Amino acid sequence: MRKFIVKRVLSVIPVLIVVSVVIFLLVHLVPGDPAAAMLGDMASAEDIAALRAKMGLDRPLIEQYFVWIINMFKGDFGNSVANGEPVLSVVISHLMPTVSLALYALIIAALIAIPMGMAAAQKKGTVIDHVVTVCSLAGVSLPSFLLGLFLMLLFSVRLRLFPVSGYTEMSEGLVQHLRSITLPAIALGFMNAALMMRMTRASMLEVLNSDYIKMARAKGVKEKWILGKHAFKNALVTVITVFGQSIVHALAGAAVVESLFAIPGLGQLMVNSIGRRDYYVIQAIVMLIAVFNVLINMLIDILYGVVDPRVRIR
Amino acid sequence: MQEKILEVDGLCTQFRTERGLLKAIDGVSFDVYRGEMLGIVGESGCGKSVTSQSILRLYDEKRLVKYSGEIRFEGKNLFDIPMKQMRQIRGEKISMVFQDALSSLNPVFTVGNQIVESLRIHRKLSKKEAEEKAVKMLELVGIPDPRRRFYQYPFELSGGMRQRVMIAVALACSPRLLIADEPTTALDVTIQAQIMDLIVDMNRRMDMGVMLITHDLAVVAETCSRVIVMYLGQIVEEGSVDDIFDRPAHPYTKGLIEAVPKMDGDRSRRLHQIDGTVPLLSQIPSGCRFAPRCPYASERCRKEMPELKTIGATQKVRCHCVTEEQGKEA
Amino acid sequence: MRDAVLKADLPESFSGGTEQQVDMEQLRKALKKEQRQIRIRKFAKNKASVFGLVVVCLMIILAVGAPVICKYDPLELNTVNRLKSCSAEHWFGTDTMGRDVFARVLYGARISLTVGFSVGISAGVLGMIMGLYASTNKIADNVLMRICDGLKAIPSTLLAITMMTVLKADIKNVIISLIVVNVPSMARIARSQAIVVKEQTYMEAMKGLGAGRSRMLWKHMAPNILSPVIVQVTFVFASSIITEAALSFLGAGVPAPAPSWGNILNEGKGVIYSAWWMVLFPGIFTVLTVLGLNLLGDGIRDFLDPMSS
Repeated sequence: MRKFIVKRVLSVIPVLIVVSVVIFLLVHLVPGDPAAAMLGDMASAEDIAALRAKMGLDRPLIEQYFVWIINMFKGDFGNSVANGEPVLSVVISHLMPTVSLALYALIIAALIAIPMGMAAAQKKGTVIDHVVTVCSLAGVSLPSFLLGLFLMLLFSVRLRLFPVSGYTEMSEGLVQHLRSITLPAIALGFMNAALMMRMTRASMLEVLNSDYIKMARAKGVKEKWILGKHAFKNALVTVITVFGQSIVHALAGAAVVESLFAIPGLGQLMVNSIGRRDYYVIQAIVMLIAVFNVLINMLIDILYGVVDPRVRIR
Repeated sequence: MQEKILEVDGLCTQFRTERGLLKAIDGVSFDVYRGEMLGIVGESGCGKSVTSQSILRLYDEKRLVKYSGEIRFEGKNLFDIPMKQMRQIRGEKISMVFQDALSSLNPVFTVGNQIVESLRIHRKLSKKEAEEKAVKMLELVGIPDPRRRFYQYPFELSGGMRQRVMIAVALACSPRLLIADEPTTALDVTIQAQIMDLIVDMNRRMDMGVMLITHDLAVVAETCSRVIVMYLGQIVEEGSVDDIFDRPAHPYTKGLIEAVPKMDGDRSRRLHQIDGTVPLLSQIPSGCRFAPRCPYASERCRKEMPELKTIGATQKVRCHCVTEEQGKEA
Repeated sequence: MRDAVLKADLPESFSGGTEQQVDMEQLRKALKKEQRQIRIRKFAKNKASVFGLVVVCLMIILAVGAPVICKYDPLELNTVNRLKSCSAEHWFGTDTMGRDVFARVLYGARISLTVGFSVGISAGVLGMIMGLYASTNKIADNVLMRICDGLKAIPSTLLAITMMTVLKADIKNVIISLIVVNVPSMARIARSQAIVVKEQTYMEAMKGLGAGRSRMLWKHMAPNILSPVIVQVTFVFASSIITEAALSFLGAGVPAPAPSWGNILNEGKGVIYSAWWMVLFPGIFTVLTVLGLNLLGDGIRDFLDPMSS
């Protein structure tokens, strides 16, 4: 088991290198000069050249890359162009609302979707199965920002149950806080819930049709235990994967939902930075989320090994 | 003869499909005696596995299947008792061994765990007692170093070992009847022989009835005392091993026996084959079910379904062409 | 009677050999035709896929026929008629600058379908080339797949947003960034399928017969990996429409006066209290199109691979 974990952790390194190169090149190789873009159309050639020198853009690409990486390890992501603050502290100050929103969305999604998916698999062809099928189809066809807009139309404009937008800090009361992020959480969580439902259903169905479930029945195991112990542990691998993917989806999807509901999180910061051409902030956010994604995937693989002994040996 | 432990009487198993009910088993009746080995043979799709799984009521009765007839075990009709009681019989009184041990053992639990589970459900043993007993079971089925194997996962064992484990799971509670559904089909020839030896050995030691379901006539000839031949959901012939192999009465049985290659046979002769293939369940012929493939079929065979009639002390056959006298002569 | 005929043929007569071969060829053709008919019937029987096909066709007709169907120019300003609700004159109402929302939604379908179609097809072709190439060349495989891993580690919306920040905001660049976003998964699918095909015996047999590499690749492997790629193309088509709408909605897509669905929604969000029609109609069109494409994709998958479900 230890060997398996070490191997898996080490395998993250090449992926991280590729990710960092990709993100670096995205910003530096694409036609157009970041410095010129930042300063706008009215800037003089000297101003641009000065900014280029300040940003280190006049140095060789490889050097720039290594400087960027080394600084990143030191926690230095550069300074925001908009207000000169260090990018890291800007990012951290926008972290909480996103984490809160993503967690809320995921918890609702998982609590509803996983039991529904299991029930649909067990009662294939019944009403609940059809509900799950329709939901999972709607999930892939209804993007979060559209669902958010529809929810706004219905609950905020028509029924006036929730605020249209705005965010209340947790420190101002949990109920207020949750109220302010309920609609965004539903908008964000729906697609994930649909995905979880579909995957849970599919993997449960596969497991329930397997020989070892038949064998467990022939052994006289109670139906409750067959579902909860024999089948669930086998289906868990899929459920873990989907859940891990959903965390990343939720973080990425937050960009759109946050700007729709005016929640001051990472997503809104990113969208605002697009308008300001604040490259360092965008680079930092994308890098952080990509690293997070890679780490989550690593954790999922390690969890696989815990759940399914076959994975450990391979 | 020993006491009867299981009586199957007029068993019909019908599957609900999109095109209505499909009769997979049509009026099968037989008995299993204590301590005997009963072989059930037939081509794939003849209903031998469905019969065995119907006995344990393993199919989903709400949606998939409709049973009729009676299966009497310890004075009760298994189709009448509630599922809760049925579960108590499964694994405790009637156990089952499946064909493919790799897919039939749960991949995410240790071997020992799967034996312990059986013991804990039915015998209400403490965890420790159950573990002791499980190690003993592993030893009993001939697994070397049972204490180490106890903590291994199914995929870490060889095919023969896995089959032994499955037998250990099935026998953990000393059942009165063991249903072995093609227990050796997925194994190498040498391992097959070892597993069959193990089953025969257990059959003697535990004095339980064994229903051996197989398409391998050689295995049946070597191990069983009685044989049932099935074709398309019906019993076509039943008798002692000697009856079936020395005096086969049904053309299908004859065909099956002739299709087995013989060591001392004439090599230049082509192996016998039964013409045609098993028809689909939805296209069952109206008369004798074997008639379309039978070389002796007459007009009567195509129109009228023959009854299963007794033709000797132990032998029964379902064929118009065989009269009682013929049976006795043979 | 049939049995009797069949049995009569059974004795070992070798004379009928060629005749049998001819029969086999005909039988094979008949079987293939029958299989195709079964598939079409199966597709037609699946109401969901037929619905998907109908919706997608309808959207294409509306997009192509937009100038004929509506009498307004989607960019024509009419400050007098600002934010008018639905009426016989303006079916979907008017927007903040008095433009006809119906016209904008129909012309928006043009943008969405163009983006989705070009991204789907280009990503499919590029992905297939990459996947096939990767399956034959070990070094290329490692390099390409590592790059794909890296790209896939960045969530697709974020990657598209990042690229659009750097690139000039126009429809061409939206298409380019969405291709970059979607190629990795396409290449993965093509590659894994190509590896399966490659390991099948008939490919070994081809190699044994001395078939050239490019012939093997394009004549024999490409058709066999096509099905999953085509299915993925429909799904990429659908998801590109969503991402394009999201990009425009965030102001990082097709620039503002253009009637993209995302742009209409973005404007509509600002006036959501007073002008629900600006949000509802483009929203419904987006959902319907994406739903139709997804249903169609499912149908195509069942059609191409009847074993799958």
